[in-house]
Amino acid sequence: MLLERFQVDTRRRWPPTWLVVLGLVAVVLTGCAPLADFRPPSALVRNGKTFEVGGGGVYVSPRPYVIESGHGNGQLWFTDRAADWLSLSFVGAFDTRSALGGAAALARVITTDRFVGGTGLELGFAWGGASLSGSVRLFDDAWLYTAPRISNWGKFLDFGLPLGVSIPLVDGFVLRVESQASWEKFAYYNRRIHVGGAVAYEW
Amino acid sequence: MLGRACLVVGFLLTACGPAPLKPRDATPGMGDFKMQTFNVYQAAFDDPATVEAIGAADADVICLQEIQPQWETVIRKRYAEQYPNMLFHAALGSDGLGILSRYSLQEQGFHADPIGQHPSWHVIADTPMGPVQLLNLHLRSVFRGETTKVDSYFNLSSDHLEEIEKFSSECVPGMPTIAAGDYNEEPTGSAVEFLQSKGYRNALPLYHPGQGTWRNPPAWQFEQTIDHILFDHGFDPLNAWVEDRGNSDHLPVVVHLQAATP
Repeated sequence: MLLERFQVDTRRRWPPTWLVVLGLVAVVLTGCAPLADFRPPSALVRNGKTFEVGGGGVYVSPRPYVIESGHGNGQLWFTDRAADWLSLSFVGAFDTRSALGGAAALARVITTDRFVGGTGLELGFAWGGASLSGSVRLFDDAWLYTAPRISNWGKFLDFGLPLGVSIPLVDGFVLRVESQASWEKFAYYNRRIHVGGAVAYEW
Repeated sequence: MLGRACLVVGFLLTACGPAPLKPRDATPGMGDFKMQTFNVYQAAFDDPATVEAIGAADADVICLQEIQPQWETVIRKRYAEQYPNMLFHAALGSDGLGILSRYSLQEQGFHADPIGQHPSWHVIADTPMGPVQLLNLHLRSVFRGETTKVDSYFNLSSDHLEEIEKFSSECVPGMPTIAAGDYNEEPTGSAVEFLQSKGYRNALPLYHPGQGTWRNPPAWQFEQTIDHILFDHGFDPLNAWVEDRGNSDHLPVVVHLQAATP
């Protein structure tokens, strides 16, 4: 059961100008290496919508043996389902001291009624990453998703294992709740726990 | 297979691995003392928080790097009572070094760097466990070679090895030795590994593996562990930590040591 059975309306409906401008400004002025995924491969696949804009917050725990405090980070994104198999995103993250942004591409390799799997690439200012992502549909358009990823934390490689749920709310709004464990330098003592929530709007 | 995978993930999630040492109290009669290294950042002499960070841990001996003449003036005024013994080799730029101590100090030589970068300072401190020799180090930074930036980056490891071989060769054999300072390299760097091959232990990773000692404000994610206190077999470690204080790009690193044998 491939994508065609969903009879997706592929006519592109561009968002209002003010929303595009707002999104671009937000991405340019904000951003840094994202601490959450929030963009499951199942997004925009089943409901016939083309665009998604979202924002959320992430808390990152201190590492177990390191003298440091936890850290909060905001995250924003804008996604265009450029093709049935491809989503392109601008992603930004920010905290009180820094703001950076970048772009991401997610290619859906497998799309079925119950499962969507793909691979993603991200590139931004002082930030790069690659992931293998998958979503399993729980019911209606609610999905459980993950995206094991290798990215950078500062100048070091970092492995992240996120697990999240995406639940439709009302009128195109979607709730995403996600937790992630990550290991900077792949070292057990550099384990961080990320917990975040976000709301996306799709049209 | 699934069970093994779950086990591995479980270990990772619970941060299992070699457990770091736990801090403990000194053994009476073993002559314990606290040693600190702190690269104060050359231009931060007018920053009160950084000045206070120097003495916040109340270490007994402190090795300082990037001491400019203004820093010497500030420290002498602020810490005259807390540290009756001070040695300074203040210099413009990042070459300056300083040593503060509650114990008397005997200068053993200010050693020029074999590759023309930061010098080191060799001092003997009369601690409660007896004479201890200190090397106050500031190994060359990543892009400070006299060649191109690319050469400088790729020659860092060999340059650090040359520096530490030269500096450590000046030490008196058989005397308990501490090599502390801004190594400008991670715990896996060539200078650290050279000393470890001679039996030295790196204090901070014993208690706080992964702990950064350098951060690049304002971006939160850029940190490195480049300040180290290595001690030889003459010492028994009791604790090590960083003081998250001041506005230098480095943090003070502190170790609590006692004699390995009475």
